[in-house]
This record gives sequence, structure tokens and C-alpha cells, in this order.
Amino acid sequence: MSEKLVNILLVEDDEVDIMNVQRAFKKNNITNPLYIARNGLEALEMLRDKIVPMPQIVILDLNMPKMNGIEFLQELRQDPSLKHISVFVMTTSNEDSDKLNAYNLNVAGYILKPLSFEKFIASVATLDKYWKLCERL
Amino acid sequence: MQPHAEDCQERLQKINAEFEEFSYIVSHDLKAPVRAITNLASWIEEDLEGTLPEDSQENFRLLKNRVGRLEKMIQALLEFSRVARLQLETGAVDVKSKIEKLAHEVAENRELKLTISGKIAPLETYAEKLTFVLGELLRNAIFFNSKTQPEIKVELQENAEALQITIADNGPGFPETSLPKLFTMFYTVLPKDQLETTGAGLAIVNKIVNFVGGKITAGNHPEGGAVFTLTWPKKMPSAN
Repeated sequence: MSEKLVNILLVEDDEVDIMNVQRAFKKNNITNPLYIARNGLEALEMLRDKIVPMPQIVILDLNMPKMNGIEFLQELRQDPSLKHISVFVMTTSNEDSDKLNAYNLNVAGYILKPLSFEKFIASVATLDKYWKLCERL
Repeated sequence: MQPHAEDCQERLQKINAEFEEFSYIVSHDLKAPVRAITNLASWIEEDLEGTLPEDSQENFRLLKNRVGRLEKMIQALLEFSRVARLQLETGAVDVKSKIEKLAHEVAENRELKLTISGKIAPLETYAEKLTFVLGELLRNAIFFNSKTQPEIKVELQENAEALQITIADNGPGFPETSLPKLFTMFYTVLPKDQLETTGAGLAIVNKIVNFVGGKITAGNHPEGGAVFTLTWPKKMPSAN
């Protein structure tokens, strides 16, 4: 089963937030390959050009320059070759409108970026359980 | 309305709207770097674990405490800016049972003596806003009260236009000099290092009460303890 590790694409523009995910992966002994895109456009390119191999899961920030998270989701869901991809939103935005927009675009989860690193590690551990399930399918 | 007055009214509304937007954007955008500082501090501390001299450890504790405080203040600013924009759904509230429930929640595990006199018929109002206001007033009555058994006396009254709710406690009351500043944002009676609180609760309460067209006053009971008197209109203003 381990030969089919899920590839994670992190779409995030903040350097420290990227480090946050990397450290949380290390703490949880997560060895899934982690790819990074700095905005929605870059993420779409990486998925379309198969830079991120299948199977893929996306962790998505919402507030980003160029193409933001919601715009990225709209594009993704319209693309027949990409629309099946599981996306987890990971954001500071607690706005109902953002949550509603995200869920309307079929996200698998909506995670608020917690202030403490300990809480973040716990969130990532939950994600890990989810993609371990995906790897068994 | 006089033309001049109309003009003023319009300008006031515009300034208000700009202020709401300003605090909202500032609070949102400020959160990201604060979180980054928290993370970076805890990573440096973690990476240097076991090698840090005692005073540096203490400095790290202070750094994290202050960043935590900053985060809470930003959150409070965000809530303050949202008063006129969010939680505008109305719902039925039974004030007496709401107070009983909230008092129990805010007391956590402390033993509390709560007496409620008078009566208010259930009403349709901005339920979440009234809940926040009552919760903050009850929290104040308990949080600053060092007695083994905090006592809260609530008096409920109503007339055709408004409810009047008086909440009195057996805590330390307020120094006279602090009374005019109680509803100011981030004001705390005790130094923040002595009692960790942001000093935002009553400012948000005051803003909510003003928003609904009510009134709130604070004072000291002649026999000791603080008293808050809240007037909450039955008819809610419509959102602008």
C-alpha cells in the first residue's frame, strides 16, 4: 500500500505558513511528497502538467495574490481531468461566505489556521488519517 | 428633517461605514503576521531546547504571552467592527432562563449564588447580541470576584418599550476614577500583567447596546460590589 502514497499539493503564498506545514509533516512522521504552489494559477499548472503525480490532494489557502483559493476551486471543478481532486481549505478566514463558497465547490474539509503550532500538528494528523484512507482505496 | 441635518446624517453614516470596513480589514490582515511570529518564536525555542539560559527562557515566555495578547486584541477589534454587520438574525429569548444558563457557563466550576427577581416575557430580539451582552456582564461579575462564592443579584423589569436588567455582584466594585473609562476599548482596571484580560468585553457590550438603541450604565452598589443597569429596547433597529 505504501507504494501509492498520496501526493500533497500545498497552495500557499506565505513562507512561514509553508514552513508550518513542513514542520507539522515532520512532527507527524508524514512522508507523503509535498509540492508547493504560491498561488492558484501556479497550482493549476502543476496539476495539469502532472508535475504533481496522481493521486493528488490539495491543501488550499484562500487569500492569495493572482488567483485566490475560491477562483482556483472554480477552475478546478470545471476541468474534467481535475474535478475529482480532494481539496482541503486551510485559511485564517472564518467568514461564513468563504465557507459557503468553498463547500459549494465540494471541498473535503475547511480548516481554520490555528494560532498555536501544537493545534496545527493535531489538524495535520487528522488530514494524515484521511489520506491514509485514500491510499488504501 | 432640515437639509443640513440630513447632510450630517449622511456623512455620519459614511464615516461609520468607512470605520467598520477599516477595522475589519486591519484585523483580518494583521492576524497572518501575528500567527507567523507565534510560530517562529515557538520553533526557535524548540530548536534551542536545553541550551537556552534561564533569562532567555523567561524572555520567550514573555514574547509568547505578548503575542498571544496581541492576537486576542486583534480578535476583539474584529468583533467590535462586526457589531453592526453580523448576527442580525432575530430569535425568541427567554431572558430569565438565558441568564441562568449563561451564569452557569461563565462560572465554570466555581460555586455561584444567583438570585433573579422580577419577570420579563419572552421576546423576539437580536438573540445573539443580547446573549453576548448578558454573558459579558455575568462574566464580569464572576471573573473579577475573588470571593469563594460569588453572588449575583439580577433584577428583571419591563415596560411597553424596553427591558431593564440590573446585574449586581458582591465583588470588589470599581474605583471611582475608572468608572468613566469602563466602556473604553482595551481599558482594564487592573494591570494586564496582574489579571490577563483584553479589556474589550465591555467596549463591545457598549457598542452593541448603542447599536440597538439601548443604554448601559455601570456603578457601585452602596453595600459594595458592581452594578450594571441595561436598558434593551423591544423594537430592534433594522440593519443599515
